[in-house]
Amino acid sequence: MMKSDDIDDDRPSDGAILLKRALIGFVGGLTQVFLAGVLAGYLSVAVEHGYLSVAAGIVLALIVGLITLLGYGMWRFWPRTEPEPVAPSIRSARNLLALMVAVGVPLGIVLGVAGEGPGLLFSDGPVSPVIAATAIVIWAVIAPLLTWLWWRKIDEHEADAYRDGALVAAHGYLFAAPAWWMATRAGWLPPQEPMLVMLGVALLWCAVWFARRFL
Amino acid sequence: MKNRLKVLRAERDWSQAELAGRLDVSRQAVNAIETGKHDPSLPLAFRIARLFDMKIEEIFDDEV
Repeated sequence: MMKSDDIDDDRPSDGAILLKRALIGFVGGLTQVFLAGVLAGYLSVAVEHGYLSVAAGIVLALIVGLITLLGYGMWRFWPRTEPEPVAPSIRSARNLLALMVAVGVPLGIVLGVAGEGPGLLFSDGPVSPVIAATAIVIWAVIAPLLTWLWWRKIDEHEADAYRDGALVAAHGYLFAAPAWWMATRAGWLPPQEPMLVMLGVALLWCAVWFARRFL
Repeated sequence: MKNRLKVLRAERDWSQAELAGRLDVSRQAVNAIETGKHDPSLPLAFRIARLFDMKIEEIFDDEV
């Protein structure tokens, strides 16, 4: 007899579970941040103008209630899976990926907001040499090293998915970049944004990798 | 490519995760092989054959 955690024919696919988690995490998280902003804004205005009345208290309690309710809903509907044994190399690869996300995202946010106006990292304006050097070292030295370490740990199925993604993304670039260039020359589109193109290529790569890996 | 991996695994009462651990691959990889979405490389096919103490052609069938 097969074990109950077995395949899996009647349970949602890994892709469906991941997509549901991403949806709940993104939409729910974004709404939580929005509500927290509303709460902070309302509270600061109320304190500033000195009208902490009963009505203001009710409004604040309602906002806190909404935040709590949303948090409960996210917890309640978060797709859970049974813990399962993971091969050592696969665990290493996952840990490495988690580390890259855990370090990369906060670092990206910090670097992204460093500077003001045109000095922002995520703009085309001039940037200070310190920020530029830091970003270049992260992007051109540390990221390739971590990618290489991750690549050595993944299994062949994931490597295939990654390669398929790269192939589709490279073809997407080959077809889209000249078309945009020609459209610019005809006056139909603004000049090509290299970082926008890079982002499109990366998204296409990730989408194919995800589909091949989890769907 | 057709294969008997799911049947062989069921005979041993192994979950996909257990088999994946024994083969040092992810559960997604085992699932993809069982459902025919991924054809294993020759080294992995040999590992599978050794694990079940069978010949590769007794597990995998390349005829459509």
